[in-house]
Amino acid sequence: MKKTGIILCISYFLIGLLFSVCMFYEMYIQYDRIIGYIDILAVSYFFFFSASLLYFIPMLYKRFCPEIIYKENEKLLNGCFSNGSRASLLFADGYSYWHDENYVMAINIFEKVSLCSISERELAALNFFIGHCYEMTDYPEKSLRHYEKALSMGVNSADLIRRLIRMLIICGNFERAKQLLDYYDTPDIDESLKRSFNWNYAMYYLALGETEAALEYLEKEPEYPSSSRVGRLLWSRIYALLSLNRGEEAAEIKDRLISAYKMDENKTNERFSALCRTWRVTVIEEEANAE
Amino acid sequence: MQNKKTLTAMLIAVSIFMLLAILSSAVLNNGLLAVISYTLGIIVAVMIVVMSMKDADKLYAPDIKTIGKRFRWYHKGGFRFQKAYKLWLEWKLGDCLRLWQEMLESGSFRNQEQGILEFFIARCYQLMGYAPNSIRYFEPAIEHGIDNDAIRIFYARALTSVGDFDGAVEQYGVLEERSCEESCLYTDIGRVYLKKGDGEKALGYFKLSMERFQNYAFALSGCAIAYLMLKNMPESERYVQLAILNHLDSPEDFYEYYEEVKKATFINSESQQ
Repeated sequence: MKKTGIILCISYFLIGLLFSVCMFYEMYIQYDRIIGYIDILAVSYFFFFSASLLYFIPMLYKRFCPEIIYKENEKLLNGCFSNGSRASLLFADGYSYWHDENYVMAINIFEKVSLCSISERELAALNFFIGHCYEMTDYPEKSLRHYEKALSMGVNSADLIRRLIRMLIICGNFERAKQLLDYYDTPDIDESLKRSFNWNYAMYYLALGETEAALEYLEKEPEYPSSSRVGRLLWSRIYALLSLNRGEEAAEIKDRLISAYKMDENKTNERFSALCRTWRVTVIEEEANAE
Repeated sequence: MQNKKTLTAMLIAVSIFMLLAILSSAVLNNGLLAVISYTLGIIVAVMIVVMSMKDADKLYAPDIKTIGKRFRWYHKGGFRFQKAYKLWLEWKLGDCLRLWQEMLESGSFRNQEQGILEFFIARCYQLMGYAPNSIRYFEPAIEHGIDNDAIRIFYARALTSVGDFDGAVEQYGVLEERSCEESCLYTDIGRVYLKKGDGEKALGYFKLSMERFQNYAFALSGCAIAYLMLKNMPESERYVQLAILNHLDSPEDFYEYYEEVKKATFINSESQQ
């Protein structure tokens, strides 16, 4: 990229210079001899001028307006990748893919950025973004690795901690998850982090099989119908209730999944009866059979 | 360029601009118009090259590590490959398989390009459920230099499904030597041993996967089945519950498989008695 830019600039400058010399020569010395060359030079001059514009306009935008591009993550990036280097231009490309939720493409570009020479602060932020891309493409292990790196390099955002704990629970590293939960669960905890902690605690206790404690947190979690998490929340409540032998309550939630959230009735019932068998909750099955 | 029509339109635009440039300089004798047309023509031509490069990167993003910089529109067979790849992304496996096979049979590709075609043909067969056919293509693909972790895993899975467990273990061995970072490695090996009927070894690999915090929920479900094979019902049931509580993907499929293994295990033990 940088090389292309330099070549374009030099060519543009040299041809422009030659063009000026020829014009001068044409005007004051020998008009007839060079008329043909002037046409060629004019064409070349226009070509390189247009190519330079095509190349430099997006580059200048990325160079001088990083605050507009990175507005959503201003706190996290905090001046990173805004020095106009090759890495920052590449990062801006990756960021736009990340923003458009094209995570596969974003990973490809972010990995190229990580090979460039960048500051530690930039590398930390980059690790967060790579981790997020892996999380969204369902690679929790890879995501976890990058989140841990980001945390160890000084990124301390609520979003990172929330996501890191979730990845730790998914990967089964409960010890580290509890360590982080205890460390950050203080009275002066960030409000957004506090809200996410309910969910993380619920998932933590659920994964460990401590369903009573999990249910306590799951019940605190608001049930937003539009949330993508609502299905997972309700199924988690069902798991916890069944394991505590509270079949009727679990069946109520299952019915709500079918009626309010339009889940496939047959599949939901099938899954529910399999869960009942797992926790040996026979009462519900009998009721269902009687119906 | 992903869209052949866009490219055609742009090439036509370039030709028109160039014609206009010639016409204006030779016939109309208008230098300014000629310069402008010529410049516009060149700008469109540059755009074609830049766009095609970026578009191909975007299109091949899911498999960029396998495809790399090959099969661009300006390469031989680039358009056909892109067409087939788009069908692949749309999950039209039969159609893309036909196209890739035609390309391979044309015999005009060598080494890595041939390897890429063989890899995708093998994947098509594998996803369509024809594992023996897929093996026939995985082997030459690796020989032609497409040798990454993903292809070894797919190849090993194909070998597992045809019952060549030793071959599969050998492939996983290669991956272990390379210190492969794929999270499914140990659960996959565990699955081979489950199919082999070796509950003890399977359990070992599933537990190893859990210790390494890889594919955790799946490893829990694997442990449940391994314990079932070892006829340790209380442990098996405990792991089933844990797998569910850890949000195992598609629990329905797991239940189905679990019930099958349960029946098979107890039928076997009854017949032995």
